[in-house]
Amino acid sequence: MYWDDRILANFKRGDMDLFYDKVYPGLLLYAQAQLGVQREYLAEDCVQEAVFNAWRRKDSFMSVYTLKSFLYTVIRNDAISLHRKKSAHNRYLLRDDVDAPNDNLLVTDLETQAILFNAINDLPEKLRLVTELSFVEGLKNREIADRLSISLSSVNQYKAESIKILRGRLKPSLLFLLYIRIF
Amino acid sequence: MTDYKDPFRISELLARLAAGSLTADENAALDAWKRVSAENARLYEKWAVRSSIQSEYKAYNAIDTANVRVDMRQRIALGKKAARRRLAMRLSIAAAVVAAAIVTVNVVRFPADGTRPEIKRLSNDVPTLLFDDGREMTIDDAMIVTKDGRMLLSHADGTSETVAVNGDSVPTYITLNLPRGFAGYNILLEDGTRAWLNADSRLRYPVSFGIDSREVALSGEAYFEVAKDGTRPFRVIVDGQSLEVLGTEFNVAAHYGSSEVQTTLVSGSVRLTAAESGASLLLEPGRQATLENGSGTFSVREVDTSLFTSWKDGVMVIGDRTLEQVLSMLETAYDVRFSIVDPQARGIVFMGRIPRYDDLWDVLDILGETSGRKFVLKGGTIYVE
Repeated sequence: MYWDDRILANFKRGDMDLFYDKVYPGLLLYAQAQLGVQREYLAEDCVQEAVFNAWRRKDSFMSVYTLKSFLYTVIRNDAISLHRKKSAHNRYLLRDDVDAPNDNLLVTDLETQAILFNAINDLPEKLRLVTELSFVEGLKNREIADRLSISLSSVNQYKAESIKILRGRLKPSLLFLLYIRIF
Repeated sequence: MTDYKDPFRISELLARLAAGSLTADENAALDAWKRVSAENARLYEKWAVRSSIQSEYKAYNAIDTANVRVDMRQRIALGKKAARRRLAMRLSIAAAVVAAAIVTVNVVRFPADGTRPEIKRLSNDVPTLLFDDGREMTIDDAMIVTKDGRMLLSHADGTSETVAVNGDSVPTYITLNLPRGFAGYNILLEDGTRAWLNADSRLRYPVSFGIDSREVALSGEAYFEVAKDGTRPFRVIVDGQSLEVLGTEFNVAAHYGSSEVQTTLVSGSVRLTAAESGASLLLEPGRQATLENGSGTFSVREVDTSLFTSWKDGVMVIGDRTLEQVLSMLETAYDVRFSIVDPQARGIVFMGRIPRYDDLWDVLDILGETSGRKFVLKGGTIYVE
């Protein structure tokens, strides 16, 4: 994506803001899914441990994809070991913990969420509001016009602008040439 | 097509599918991936029609990144693994089938730190849940999950216990009691309203709200993000005042020993009513109403709301506060006692942001550096010299 190359460069410098804006939410959702409802409360810690781990070996990452692959892997391993530790003395294991989600598909889904939602969040305010109502909530143009107290033609115009910006930003990234697969 | 197995590549294509900007080549590639398995096909369909993304979008944007940023900055600055893992816990209480409340906790602890003496809390009080039938439950480090009318507590030492929550002993109301030294509890109520509870505060809430109103009682300080519900007004009863809202974000503080109730409105609108005088007021965003309990009158002023709400994100934002006021906030947040030796030190004025570090010494280092004063621990009291 259009911010991807900056994420890694900033990360290596210790400037984590872009990373926490764009990458962290997906990692937290991943950790929560891996841990299951009963241990979801550990997700934040689990992600933070993984991020700090990555920070200590930051020079080994060639692209944001190797960084993310590393983080997903560390989080998953941590979650598995937490399950093992706790379940030994916990008779009340819930089903949620046993059904490990299909990892590749989970990552694919969360990455798709991150790409789209980050792109929508980056839209200028007016366009973002219209996009949230149209693209995300699926409202009709008339309803959007009423909701935002703007004219029908403005809705059409904002929608067209948003789509144009989103499509421009969702262009496939050339960085894929560099990515290393570790799943 | 093997290179398209990669989740990162596929996710970019799925995002473009959702935005309707796939090229013919990409469409063919994604189509091949889709046919690999039924799960793939389901994920494809999901993004093709963008079903269920409304709730996902909300959940994604609701993730709080303020605390974790501060935490990571601190770890990087220290250059080592944080010795203390913040202990967060989650508590969910369900009325029969519906999850009614989820509590997330950041427990502040003070383990010994090599060179510096350990600052002990003054009391041994721990967060508790009080049920209407008189049962009290410690939620210090237990993990609580409620399913099918049973509440299971798994303690850190490996023991477990089961508590019935339905049948004859339905706890229609639950009181979450947070003593000094514990801050940042975050409760998700049955209607989707989220409440953050500060240290030395109590919140009484029903397992499920009635059909025509939502009501909770507070003493101490809490921040509310009230879920919109046009048919059921949300009421907070607090020390001499009641607040009524339909959907909004605000902070209420009614501390012990203070004769004031401060309500700070971040967004939406809130109607305040004074219990004794019946005086009523509609508060606008960016403003703070102070109720003087003696007179039953309100005064309103414009404020920077972040000064009054940042505690919920684990940051103390200080705007023009004296050392005495700052230390009083720390006394509640960490359950400790300060004594200012030099009367002139009382009036030193601070401005800035201090993260709620697990180790109080980290906070005192910052205050010490900026004020030029030294903090010394003697017999359970921290002296400012």
